[in-house]
Amino acid sequence: MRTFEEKAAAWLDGQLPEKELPALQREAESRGETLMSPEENARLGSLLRKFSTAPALTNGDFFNHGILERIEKESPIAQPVQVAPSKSWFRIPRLAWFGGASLATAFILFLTIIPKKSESHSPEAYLAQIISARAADPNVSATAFHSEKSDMTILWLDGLDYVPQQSPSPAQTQPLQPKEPAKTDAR
Amino acid sequence: MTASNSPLEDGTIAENEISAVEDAELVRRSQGGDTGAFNELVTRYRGRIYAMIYHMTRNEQDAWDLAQDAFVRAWKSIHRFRGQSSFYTWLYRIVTNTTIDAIRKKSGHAETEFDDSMAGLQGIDVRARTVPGGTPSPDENIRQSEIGARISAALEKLSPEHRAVIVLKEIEGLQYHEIAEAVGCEIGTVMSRLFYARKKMQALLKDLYENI
Repeated sequence: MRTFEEKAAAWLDGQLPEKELPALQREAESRGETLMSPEENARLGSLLRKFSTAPALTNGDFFNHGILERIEKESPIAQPVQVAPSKSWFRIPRLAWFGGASLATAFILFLTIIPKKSESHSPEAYLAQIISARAADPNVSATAFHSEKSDMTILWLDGLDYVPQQSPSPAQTQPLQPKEPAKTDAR
Repeated sequence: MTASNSPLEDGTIAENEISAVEDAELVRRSQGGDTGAFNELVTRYRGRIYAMIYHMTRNEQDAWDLAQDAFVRAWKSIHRFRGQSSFYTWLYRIVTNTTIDAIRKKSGHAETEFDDSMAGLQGIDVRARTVPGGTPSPDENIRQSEIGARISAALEKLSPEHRAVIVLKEIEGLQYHEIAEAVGCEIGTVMSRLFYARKKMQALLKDLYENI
């Protein structure tokens, strides 16, 4: 249901069905309104168009320049781009995972590659300290090493002094000569 | 309203269809941040937009400033343009709103619907003959200037909303639905505003259009 104003506007623009005109006129009369005729409305429109000529837009380039300048000035400052979560290899979960894996690998290697102490290498098996070494000097020590596998005994004498050269005696010098460990066959 | 059927468009329908296609491409590029494409759109419509605003403001400097404001606003919101109407229709709405806001600020009009009580027209008989306000000049240019000034003065007495609809209807030649889209209201509201705007213009300019 259109209002009186809507019907009146439609009448002026020639869009009101002819059959609705009598009702519109009755309504206008009851409201005390005097309807403008479409012809009168056309003259009003013609007057407005005739004397409402807009001046041409001069300096069009300057007009555009002003707009572009304002766009540049009023555009929000570019916000720092939100960097996506890094795809780097060095991420904490991954580092933790590899750390754990490394520890496990090291533990496995420790268990498998590093040899266990064998009984053959037990000090008791090959090492014997000669406690009752006959030496006047307490700094002199003698140590015997025996290997059953090689069937060999090594006697290590430590702390011996060089024998003076004035009275060399083969009998005296011979046992005292070696500064290096003496090799003795214990068989 | 579309660019191809707007009464404001010049040229053939085929040319306008091409123009609409080009508009869509320029809008798409503008949405991607291409100011060069937007500059082309400004060049394409600046004349019509400037004239339309001038008809509403009757002031060249205001029309220049408001047209620039409208284009800048269009740029800022062009990413929201979805192509459901033509770019020109969409731009028209921005221009209309910008101009109405500016007129309202300038004149201090309240955002209320115009009626006779506001205009003091209730005692005026629309059939009454009125006397021109100024002294007639023998010079045609002066006469035309005077008539233009009378029209300007009459338009200034309308509320911004009523001024917009009568300018869009009588000067720009838009249809009801086009005005509704441009102003952002129902067609019935457009017709109602048009009725009151014409009524007031009739009262103020009757002597002019009956004697020319």
